[in-house]
Amino acid sequence: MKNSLNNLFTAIQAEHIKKRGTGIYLLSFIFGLIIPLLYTIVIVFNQELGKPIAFSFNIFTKHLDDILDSFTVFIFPLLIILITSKIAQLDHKNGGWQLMETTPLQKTSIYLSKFCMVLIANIIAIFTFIFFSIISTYLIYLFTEAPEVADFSIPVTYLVHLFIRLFIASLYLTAFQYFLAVKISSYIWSVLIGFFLLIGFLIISNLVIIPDWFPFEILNRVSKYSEGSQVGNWFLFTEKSSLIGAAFFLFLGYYWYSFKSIFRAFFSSKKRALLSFAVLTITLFSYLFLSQTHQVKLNDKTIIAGEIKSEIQFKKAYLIHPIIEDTLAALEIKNNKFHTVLSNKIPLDNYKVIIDNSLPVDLLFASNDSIFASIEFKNNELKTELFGTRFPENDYKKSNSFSWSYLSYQINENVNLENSNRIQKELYDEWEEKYNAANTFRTADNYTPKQDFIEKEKKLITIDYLNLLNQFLDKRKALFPNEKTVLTDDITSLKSKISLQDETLIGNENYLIYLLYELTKNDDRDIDKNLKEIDAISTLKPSQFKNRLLFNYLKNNIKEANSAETRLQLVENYADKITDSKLNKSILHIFKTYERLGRGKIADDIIATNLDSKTFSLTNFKGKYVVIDVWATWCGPCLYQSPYFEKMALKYKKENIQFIALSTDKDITKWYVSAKLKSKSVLQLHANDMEKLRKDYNIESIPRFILIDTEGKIYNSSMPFPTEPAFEMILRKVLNLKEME
Amino acid sequence: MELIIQTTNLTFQYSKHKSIIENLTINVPKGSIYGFLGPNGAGKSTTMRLLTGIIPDDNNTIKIFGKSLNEQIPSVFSKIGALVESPALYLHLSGYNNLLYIAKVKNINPDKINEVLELVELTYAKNQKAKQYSLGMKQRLAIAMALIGEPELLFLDEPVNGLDPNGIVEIRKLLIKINKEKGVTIFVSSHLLSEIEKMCTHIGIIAKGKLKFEGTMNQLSTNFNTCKIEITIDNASDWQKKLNESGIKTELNETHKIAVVLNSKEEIPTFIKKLIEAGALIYEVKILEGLEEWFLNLIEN
Repeated sequence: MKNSLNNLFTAIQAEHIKKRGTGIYLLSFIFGLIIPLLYTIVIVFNQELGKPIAFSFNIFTKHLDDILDSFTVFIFPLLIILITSKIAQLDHKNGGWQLMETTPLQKTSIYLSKFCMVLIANIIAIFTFIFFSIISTYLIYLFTEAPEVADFSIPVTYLVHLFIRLFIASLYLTAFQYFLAVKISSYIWSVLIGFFLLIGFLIISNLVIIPDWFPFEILNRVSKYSEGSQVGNWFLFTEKSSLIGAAFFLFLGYYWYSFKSIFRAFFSSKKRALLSFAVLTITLFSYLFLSQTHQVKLNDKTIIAGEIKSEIQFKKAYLIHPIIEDTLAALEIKNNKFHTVLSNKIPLDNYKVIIDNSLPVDLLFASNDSIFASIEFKNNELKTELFGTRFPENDYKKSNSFSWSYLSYQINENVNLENSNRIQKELYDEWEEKYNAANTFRTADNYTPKQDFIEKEKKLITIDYLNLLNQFLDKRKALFPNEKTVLTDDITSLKSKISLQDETLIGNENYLIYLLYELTKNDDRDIDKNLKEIDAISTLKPSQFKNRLLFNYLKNNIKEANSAETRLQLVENYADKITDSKLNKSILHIFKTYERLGRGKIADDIIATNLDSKTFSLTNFKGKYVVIDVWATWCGPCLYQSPYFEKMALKYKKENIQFIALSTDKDITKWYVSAKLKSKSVLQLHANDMEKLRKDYNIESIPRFILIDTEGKIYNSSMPFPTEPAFEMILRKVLNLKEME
Repeated sequence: MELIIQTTNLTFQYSKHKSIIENLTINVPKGSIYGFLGPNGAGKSTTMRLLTGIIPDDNNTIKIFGKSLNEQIPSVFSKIGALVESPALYLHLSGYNNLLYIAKVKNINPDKINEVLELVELTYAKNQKAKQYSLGMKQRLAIAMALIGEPELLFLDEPVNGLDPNGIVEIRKLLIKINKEKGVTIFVSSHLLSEIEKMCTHIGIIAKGKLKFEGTMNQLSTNFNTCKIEITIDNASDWQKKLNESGIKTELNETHKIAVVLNSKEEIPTFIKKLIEAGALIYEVKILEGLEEWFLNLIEN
């Protein structure tokens, strides 16, 4: 053993003599340097670093992340292909393989020493890349200003970890390419094969799912999941399988090289055949073992917990169902942490935690899940990271990006619609592809989403395509009124997958579209579409499904109704069709809220403080019209509307009207600084009791503009935005000014 | 006599039906220069590769230094220098670095490099890249690479291939020198009889994968120190009698042809002159047996 090691060491030293003047290590250095260098130049000259970021982040990690994939996906594999071929070529070209065999070097030493050379070249490239991406970051901020929140400490552990992961992930490709390069004595062919595999991979990786064992994919995963394992492993399973692949190809390559022919190497004696079989079996089984999928184990309790990183102390949060606004739990927040155990059975859905009535956090879970939300609220921006038993599902949602569809193009642009069967077939095929893709999602650590989620996801995909189908059928009716469109068997089977009474889908907008289309499609009456829809819903058999659907429908229509009369009609005609007393109460409450805010109702008082700590109340302004802009410094749309509001205030400052900007900021200093800089024509106030304000005026979103008349009665509780001409028209009307030309 | 290389019925085939080497039994004594002679395609290079283990010998029929070759690979190569197939050099490296590489893998003190460079007269070009060398220089460098570290056994495959006459003489002198001075056993292959004749102590002749002859150079020269000629002559039987009487060995081959054994080729003109003077009518004189004829005969059948 010791002799063999000495022999190997001698061989490596000898290889270093042999490589003199070939520039192999220099090539690695250049390949490692090139991307950080180009990146630095581009950034310094473009000075574009994206939009400002509110949350603290490590500057080195960020820049490394920007360039990591071009290194792992293209430059590094290319280098491996070139270096392996070049190193093998030194001996192919000069008859060196035979020369080496007539020296005291063992064949293992010969084969491995050259492999080690490639590994050293790999190490140089990885190190250079990481080192210069650090240097590059320093350089960039010599010329540009760094974001305030940027953390400039070098993330040593992360870098070391990344270095080792890259090295391990490259072993398999290196062993494979080295095997090719030794076997194929032509330089061009071994490079070409590697290069075509790489280019092929780059082209098709967007079109099909690349198997986990493909060597280029293993490297790709390092940059795709630059943070590494989500379940605390040191390596991703793909990186572990890189070791298996490397071992296999080293075995294959060495035996083939050493015994000169496949037959002699693997089958010439019983012993060798047995060994080959054993290696093959071990490789396959260890890979199968590594690549098996996992599912997160569930608890017997449902736990919702979280932590809020912020300078502000929060007090209370509610866990609600976003559609029916049913409160599932009230969460006490202590030291900006919350933790609760839910005992009732909860179906899988997207829920919301609303923190102090202002910060919404989306949570996907069902019974027996444990969810931890890491929430950061800084500079009026909110960032949430979710951990716990639903991380595969959350990853799935993040990865599910929009993909272009030829089918929807055809339907939208009325192309090929005359050929009904063709469109239907394409629709089915596209659906099938997406439907199956939902099954294949895996996280970095090979975890799969749970079945309940997948089933729901598949339903949503199906609904998308059924909606497209309906769109298509409508167009057919309009374009070819005399032709009957017959549904194919496939499409009929597709339709049978979605029930018209699926309570789990009630929160989904697309499902509602589909449902209402299906419910009203045979209604030929020439009346308002909304009316048709609500009629259709109310004729359903009484069930909780119907209750929820009707509730949702009424809620939306009450909100959108433009007159008190319409609202009243909706409630009078349909509210009693909701048989669930809780929902029924709820809808009446919503109705009353809107009623209360109707024109002519006495406006609830608002107590607020100005910049000089003087307290104001609505009664202070009796005899004057009051127009209020409810806003906050963290609210982008508010900041957009603000200048238009001020413009109005300047324009009408001589009229009998008071403009008030009413802030709902939690952080009073933020408001103070921001309000100080604003126009004096608007009275800057900060609401004393935000919770009361929210309830009194049913403020679900800001900006919100409220107009109160001279007698303290509501004139309009939800004005158009100042950017719209209607805003000024209403003002002129109450001020008795003549209409604008 | 100690044998450095010994094979017993060495056989090698690429496919089942066509043997490249068949039952080759060769014995190379210590201290010899063994010329391995055969025409192109006779199996010389294959034998060379088998003897150096480049082609594995599955039947374990090769012994080197008295022990099975297979058991000694690769450590045995610290005692062997080999030049198998025309020069395996790293063309991108200088002559010196080529030798440094070999010195490293054979664990030889790099000081020896200058010695061998001197020996093959390449000192002046040692820092030049091997790709700039002439064919002769490359060949000499390759020999230097085989020679470095004073091996006990040298394998040289066609070492003078492609060299000019001067170079050939130089190499020949060099090989004889190291054989005499350092007692290195040299196994050298060639397709040129004249080459082998001039430097070897032992000779093995191979044709179509089979060994046709093996022996010392001395044996060979005794075999061929007489010269047999055939004379086409009138009254052949009469002349045969006359010649027999004067103590010369003769045979009657055909009615007009007699074979005569002379002591050497050089005797032919005087012998013919005497016959003519004695009144013989000679139509044709042909040498029946000489080393070259014998060799050509051997490899053609």
